[in-house]
Amino acid sequence: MNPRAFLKMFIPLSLLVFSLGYFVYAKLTGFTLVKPMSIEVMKSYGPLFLPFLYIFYYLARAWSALLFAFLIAGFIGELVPKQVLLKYLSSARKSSYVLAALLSPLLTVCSCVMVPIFAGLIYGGAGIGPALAFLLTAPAANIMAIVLTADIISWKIALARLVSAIVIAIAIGYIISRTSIARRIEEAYRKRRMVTTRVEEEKPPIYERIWSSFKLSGFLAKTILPYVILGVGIVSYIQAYLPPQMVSTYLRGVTGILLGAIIGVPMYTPTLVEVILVDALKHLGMSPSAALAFLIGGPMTSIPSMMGVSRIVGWRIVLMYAILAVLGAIAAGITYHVLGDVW
Amino acid sequence: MVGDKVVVEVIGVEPPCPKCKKTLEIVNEAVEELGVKDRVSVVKLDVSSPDVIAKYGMLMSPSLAVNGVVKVLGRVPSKEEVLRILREALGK
Repeated sequence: MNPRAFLKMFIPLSLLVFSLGYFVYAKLTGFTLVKPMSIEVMKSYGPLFLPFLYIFYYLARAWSALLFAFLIAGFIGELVPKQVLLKYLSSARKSSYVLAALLSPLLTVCSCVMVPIFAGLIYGGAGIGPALAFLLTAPAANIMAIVLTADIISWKIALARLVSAIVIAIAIGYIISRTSIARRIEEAYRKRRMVTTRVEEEKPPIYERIWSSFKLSGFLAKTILPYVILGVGIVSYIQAYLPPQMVSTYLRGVTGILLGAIIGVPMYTPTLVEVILVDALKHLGMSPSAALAFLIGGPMTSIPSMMGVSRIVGWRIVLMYAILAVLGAIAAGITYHVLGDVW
Repeated sequence: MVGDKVVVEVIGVEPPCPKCKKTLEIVNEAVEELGVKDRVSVVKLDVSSPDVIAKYGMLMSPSLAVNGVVKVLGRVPSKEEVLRILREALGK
């Protein structure tokens, strides 16, 4: 192997191992690069410096999780055998809800892939149920969101988020597929035989593919990080100036779960920012179950994907699934509340 | 050589996402570099349209098809790769 090829493989892989190792080590030992500064101290520097301090300490704390999240997302996006997974999906029939929901996080590293596959499932005649299960699992259960949730909030919430997103997405798909509107749409495409995607792809050598996955990670970071940093800056004001009393009055108990599930809908938070916002609200007294409801309801009802989907299946289906997503988020919050409500 | 034009289809989302634009850019550069503009027609397709799905099945964006066969699925190809694919299709 020539040195160039070796480096193309070695750099991304070693960064992945390093970020994961650091991430786990820091979690286990509580090690931090810089001593964390409390929000009160940050506030004393005045509202002008507050967001910058907040961003600095955030990155000092979460850089390894972010790095690992972007790297692993790149690897999945590039190296997962998409053709095989698509073949499974397109052979999908009524029983394939679970398959659609489970494959979703592996195929939708980049959100612009979600709507095309959704369209593929509908037009190909696989049915609205599996298509919705696929579409709705992706945003709440995407790999980057889960890694960051585990790092910043807690692994219990991350696990609860993953599991409930899958369960809710399957349930919504099933319920909507029983409605008459959905049946009419399915009827229109039933006669079509799903064309199996035929691909004659010559895979480049492995080091090129690893290098491409690294480039994909870079692309994801470049697209997502500016919003995350901006989001962290805005969240700093929330944590500093929102009265804790308000949070503990409204974002706890059953009210908290209801509000958590509902406020996520109009408040379109870019991916990953929802995690940071919840972390701030957690410090102000939000309950874990309200946080979970928020982390599920918001991403499932993201406005850009609703617009894309409405062009394919119409507004009524979108409205139905948005309402069901909120109800599902509430149900998940209540279940989590009953199970112990721990961070 | 009229009649054996190579049809390259860049299949992405509408409105185009950054990765689809990049793919189209790379394809155009590759065509330019080979100097075969008159023999290759580059077409942009919408991955979510019923016609594309009827023809190719479910795809991920961006994908690249040459003369009706998907050559790249759901990723941005490198220029070297596109050059190789084009050379093969042009038979040189």
